[in-house]
Amino acid sequence: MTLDNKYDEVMKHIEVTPEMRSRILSNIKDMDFAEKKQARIVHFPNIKRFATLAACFAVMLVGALTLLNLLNISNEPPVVGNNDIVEVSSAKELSETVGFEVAEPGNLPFEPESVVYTAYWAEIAEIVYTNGEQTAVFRKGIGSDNVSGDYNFYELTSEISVNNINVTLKGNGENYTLAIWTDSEFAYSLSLNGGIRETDWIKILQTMID
Amino acid sequence: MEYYLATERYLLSFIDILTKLFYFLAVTLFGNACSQTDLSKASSRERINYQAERMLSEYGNTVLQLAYSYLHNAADAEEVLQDTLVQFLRTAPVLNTKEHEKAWLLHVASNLSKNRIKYNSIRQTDELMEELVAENRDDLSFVWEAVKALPDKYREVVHLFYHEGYQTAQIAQILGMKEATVRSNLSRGREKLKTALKEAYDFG
Repeated sequence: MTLDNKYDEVMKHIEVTPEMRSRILSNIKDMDFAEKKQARIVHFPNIKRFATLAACFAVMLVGALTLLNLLNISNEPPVVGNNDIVEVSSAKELSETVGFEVAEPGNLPFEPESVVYTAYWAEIAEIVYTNGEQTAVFRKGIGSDNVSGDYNFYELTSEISVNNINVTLKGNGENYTLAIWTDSEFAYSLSLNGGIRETDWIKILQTMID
Repeated sequence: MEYYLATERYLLSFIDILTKLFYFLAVTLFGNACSQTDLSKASSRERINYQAERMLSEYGNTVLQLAYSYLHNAADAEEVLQDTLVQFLRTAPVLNTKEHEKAWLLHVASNLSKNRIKYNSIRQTDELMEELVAENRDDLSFVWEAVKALPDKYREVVHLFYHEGYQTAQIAQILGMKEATVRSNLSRGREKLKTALKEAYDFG
């Protein structure tokens, strides 16, 4: 006899007896097999659902803002510092706007009725005095180039020195209408449409040039 | 994350759903006179009881013997048999053939037995041994002693191979291990038995 036959014979001693059968069936009958056959659907937890929605909105918002920014950049010119032509109401404000001290010219040959303070692109300060027909335009700008904005041809020119600063006077006939000078740091110009003599110019310039 | 398709479960109780749907419509349309809820519940219970009886008749001995080979005790083996049946009735797995059914039951019974060894205390009385001794069948008690002494991993494959007649591939499926492992455990189990039985018996 082989091992497996012997082993089979051993195992034959083990069988479900009628008592065992009724015990088991009785136990099973008492058990609750209430329908737990629910579909094993994985519920999307609420917190994850809302978190996902929030994330979607955040992405959409960022995208919208980026788009808006891109559109804005193409429509408006970039504003770097104070890059416009700004009119202000005083020399003090003008100084603040352009970033350097602007002293008002004194001894003008007329009493100004109205004064207009303008800052050009935070580089040039301009003060325009008017009284009827008479106009005086004072400009101060960064650098040493001619800031007068006046490139007319003048028959009369004169180079004078006021307080060690060279001043160029320009004019027609007997009077000069424009003075241009620089102290290397700033460039200045004063135009008087009325035109005055050189000696009168010196008086004015002496008050303006330190 | 694993997603279980709803259809996996619905396919299993498709007829159930159709039945329920039919009764729901009937009740909705024709009122409580058509209510079959109690009956359907009763029929479900009947079905469970019928299944239990059928499984016990067809596979009771097989499962009990496997459980006994692990636990060496009738009461423990009986509990494993019951637990195996309960699991079958609760899980309602889709098993197309009798072979499939048997393999499923043995798989579950094997796991339950091993869990019991690991976590529960085992009763010491070996009724089988007592019986064989009482019958004066030394040859059989000798064999049982030798098999009983094997480590679990050798004994389970020996039992399934020699007693249940499974091939190593099938044993691998039932026990959830590689076939190579099964073959090596079987070979080692045989060697140990050979030593224990001192070549007194021929090996098939």
